[in-house]
Amino acid sequence: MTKNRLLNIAITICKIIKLIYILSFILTTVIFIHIQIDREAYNDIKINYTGTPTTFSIGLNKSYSDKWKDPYNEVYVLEKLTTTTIYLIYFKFTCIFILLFLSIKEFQNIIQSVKRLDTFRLNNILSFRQIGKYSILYFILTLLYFILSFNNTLYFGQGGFSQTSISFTPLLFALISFILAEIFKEGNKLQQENELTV
Amino acid sequence: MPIVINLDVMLAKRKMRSKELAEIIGITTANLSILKSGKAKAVRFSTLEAICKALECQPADILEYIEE
Repeated sequence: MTKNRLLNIAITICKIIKLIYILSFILTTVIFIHIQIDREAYNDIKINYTGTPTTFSIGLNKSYSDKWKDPYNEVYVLEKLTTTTIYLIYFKFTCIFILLFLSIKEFQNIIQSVKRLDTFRLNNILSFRQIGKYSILYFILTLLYFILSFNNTLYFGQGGFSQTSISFTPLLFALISFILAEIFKEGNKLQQENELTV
Repeated sequence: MPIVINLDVMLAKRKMRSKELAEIIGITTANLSILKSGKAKAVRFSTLEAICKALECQPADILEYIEE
């Protein structure tokens, strides 16, 4: 199976995704630092509010303005974004990047072991459990931000709006990962029995 | 495990070496070592048959049940 094209493609995709995450993280960090040094550079960036709820999630969209204007028609300038909001957003993105990067890394390890015909090894069981744990952490993070955003998520000088949602997809991923870990555990047991049959 | 493998005893009785037996029955010395050390989880009937044939003995001469 060392020349399996599908597995090779999957490994390449994993590597590309990992690279994209690293670049995105670097870019986010650069923007995070730059927005604090030179806020006026973001004068032209305006945010138009669009409250489109996501699927398979509990969504919360709210908008308000200090001046009693129609909040939905308010134009928010990125320059006026508060420091707390910037830090909160950066922290969230950092955590998400790290969790997704680690999950992809574990998944890549699993695919590589399948390629080496070493599918039901103990490390794969641990990798699936790790992916499950990362998914739960991801869910907790989104949940935390959902709770926090009852006050505000994006708070600008003239008002603010929040558009957050709890996505249940990470929980589904966690469940699938833990089930796969159990399947691989059973596979590992059978493999050991097969190896120890004389 | 309450099943004890007395292969060492039979080999000594027949004055045969492990390597020799492994070659006759067609398994690797590593697998024979697993069998001798009691680490094996299962023994195939074909392997048992080959061992009995090579050592001119009965399965009961190799396998023994000892209550724990």
